[in-house]
Amino acid sequence: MNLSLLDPFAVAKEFPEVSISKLEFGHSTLIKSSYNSDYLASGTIDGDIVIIDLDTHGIIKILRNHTRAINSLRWSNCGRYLLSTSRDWKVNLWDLSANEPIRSLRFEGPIWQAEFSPKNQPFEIFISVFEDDCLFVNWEDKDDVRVDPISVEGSEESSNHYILTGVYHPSGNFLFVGTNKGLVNIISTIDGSTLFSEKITSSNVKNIILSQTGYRIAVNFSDRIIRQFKIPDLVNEEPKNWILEVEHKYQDVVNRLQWNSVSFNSNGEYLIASTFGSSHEIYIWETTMGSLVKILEGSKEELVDVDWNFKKCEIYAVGLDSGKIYMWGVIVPQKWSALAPDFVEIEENIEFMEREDEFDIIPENEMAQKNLELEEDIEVDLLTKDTIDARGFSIEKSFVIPLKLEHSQNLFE
Amino acid sequence: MLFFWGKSHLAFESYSVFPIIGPGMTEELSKEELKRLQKKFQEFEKAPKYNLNSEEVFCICRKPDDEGQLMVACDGCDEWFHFRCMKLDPKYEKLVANFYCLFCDRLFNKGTTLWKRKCKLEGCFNPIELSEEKKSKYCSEEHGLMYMKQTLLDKVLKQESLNDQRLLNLKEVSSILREVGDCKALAKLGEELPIYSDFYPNANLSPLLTEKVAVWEKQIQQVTTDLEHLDSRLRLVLALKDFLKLLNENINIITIPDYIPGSRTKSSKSKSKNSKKSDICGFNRVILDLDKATDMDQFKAKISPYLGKNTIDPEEFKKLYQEIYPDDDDMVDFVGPDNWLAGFCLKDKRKCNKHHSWLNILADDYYLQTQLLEEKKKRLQDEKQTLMTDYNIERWETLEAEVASN
Repeated sequence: MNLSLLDPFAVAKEFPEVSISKLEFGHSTLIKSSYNSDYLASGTIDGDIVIIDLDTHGIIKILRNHTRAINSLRWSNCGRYLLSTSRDWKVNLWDLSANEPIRSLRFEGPIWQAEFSPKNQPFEIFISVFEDDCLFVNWEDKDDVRVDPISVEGSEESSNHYILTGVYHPSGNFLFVGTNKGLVNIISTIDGSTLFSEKITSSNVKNIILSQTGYRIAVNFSDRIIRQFKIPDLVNEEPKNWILEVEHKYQDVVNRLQWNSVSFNSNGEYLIASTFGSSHEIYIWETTMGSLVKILEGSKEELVDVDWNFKKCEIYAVGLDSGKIYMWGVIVPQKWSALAPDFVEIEENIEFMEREDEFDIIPENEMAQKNLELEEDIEVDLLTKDTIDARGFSIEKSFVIPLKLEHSQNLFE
Repeated sequence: MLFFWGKSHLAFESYSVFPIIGPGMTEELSKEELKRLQKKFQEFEKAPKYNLNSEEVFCICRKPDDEGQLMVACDGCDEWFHFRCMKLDPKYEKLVANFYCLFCDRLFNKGTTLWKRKCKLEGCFNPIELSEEKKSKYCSEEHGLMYMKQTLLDKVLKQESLNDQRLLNLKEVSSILREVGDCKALAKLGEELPIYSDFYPNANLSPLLTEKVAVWEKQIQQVTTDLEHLDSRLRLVLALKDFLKLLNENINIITIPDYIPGSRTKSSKSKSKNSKKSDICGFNRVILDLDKATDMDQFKAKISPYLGKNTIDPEEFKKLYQEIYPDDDDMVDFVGPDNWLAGFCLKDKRKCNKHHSWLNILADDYYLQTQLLEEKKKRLQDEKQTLMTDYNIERWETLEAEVASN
């Protein structure tokens, strides 16, 4: 049913609360929903990338080029390109209107992650390689791929100091990176120089995520603590005045749980994390106060990767053992009376009391006159498109993946 | 006697009103007719079973078994009825599957008369041949052949008499039949599209189509080249695997004084640090950049003297090895002088996390790429074939149209 007709309080829920579905297409290790929330890309353990349509929950594409488990998946903002890295040492850029990668690079070792730059998508990317320098890659020209290594600078100089993960600032001028020695650095994407460096702890950085607004950053360290920082004013302040201020530390003091994967919601007001080990839950914190608001249950196995689909208000997570994709969402009660405003939904049977004028006989011409007046008052605009959806997100036109039905039999081969 | 005659007359009448035609006659009887039938059945029930001569009498006509009169027993009440009295043609004798008299059928609904399927040949009233393995439309093989011959002749002769040129005449039919030999070949006729005679060579193709075909052929050519390239790379990787084995052996010969080639356990006597049996990672960055054929040739030339050999001359190897490892104590990633050993990752295989199982990764990747390319090639070929077929059909159609207009 059309969301905008339903109970606004149910529709505008901030976070999902109930388990709604389970999907199983191969052994999934990684998921990522597209920016427009229409599609879900799932990387499987044997290197296939499955594109799932989120309205029908059906497979619409299977991309084959990797031979090992997929390590990271990123959608371009337009929804047309997909960046994948795998343990088979390859980085591929897929154009979803075709079935083959349009760019492919092979490195000298497994790759942790690849990230689209907000500028010049999909050709400018950041890649972090296992036990090697990180790279800025520009592969706009297929025959002249420019690769700039990023050196790790910081308080600690060591031969085994590597960048593990990174995330772009929405401006595209800065890159936040985390190293295996617990450093969080801010690197200029223009000249690759390290503008800021701070040692937070001495353990690995597992994930760095940035809220879409660019105000908050959350770093998942392997010392079982997720630290949330406020991002300094990067544009107006001098780099030497930047301070990474810890807003909150999220940890399970009792069980000392490790966090597998973290994700923000659209405006950075909520943070979710999946847990390592025998606890099979997803924790949701509210980020201004740092309080735990909900624990999502429903899976019977450890959850690895989590992803928050903003527009559908759904959370997806991947099970470690079975490779199933678990989905949590909001169930909005159906309100069919919205389609016929003169009908009223009642909770229980009531005795009908007729209105005073219910069976009055109105002369036909009078009736027609009345109807005419009513009709004149209402002007229905059928042409202008809504600019925001029921949840308040702006509706943007995005890429629609073409379906070739005649080749569908090859899909499962 | 009069009584019997009258009775039979009555029964006859009832029969003519509701003739037994066979299965499918299911319209409901009206109340009145049902009543009439009931009355007749009572009469039939009450009628004596023997006549004055103490002969048993049968049927609705209540007559004794007249020699030679064909009779049929009802499957509902086991009474016997004359074929003639039931208004059945005696030639249908063999076709009765089960028979129900009027009373059993209409009054008691015990069942309806069922017939066997008749042989398709005209004039033959035998049932068709039915068995587990065979379902024929004819009572026997001879009748089948007779029927086919008759039909074929009928059709062909009829067409000949119409004098229609578009159809086959008797001579053509007989020559086709003689040509194909058996039924299977006949059924297969027309499955394949005949190639229009001026379809090849391509000189007669329209320029647009020629262009299209050329594009396809170019793509197929490209895929074929890629496939060859992949294949040679795969072979190189496999060759490298053997080469690494050889390399390991040689390193062991140098570093372990009393090493016996081929032995799996390290010598128990030597306890020095260097005596550890080495198993190097052996990854070489060069093989990733082998996109250019020249690079590959160079690399091959570099290691080719050692490919396929069982041993490398220990003295020669020692010289090379010491060039790289002057101290011979730690195996590190090496970039050194330009000898053929340079570029190989000489870390211990188990400690080299970075290149872990690189041989398998590369081989798997090449296999997958080969598979994908082959799928692509097949798809391209199919598409090209479809294009050609469409054109072929078009040509035939224009030819047909020309013939028709003439």
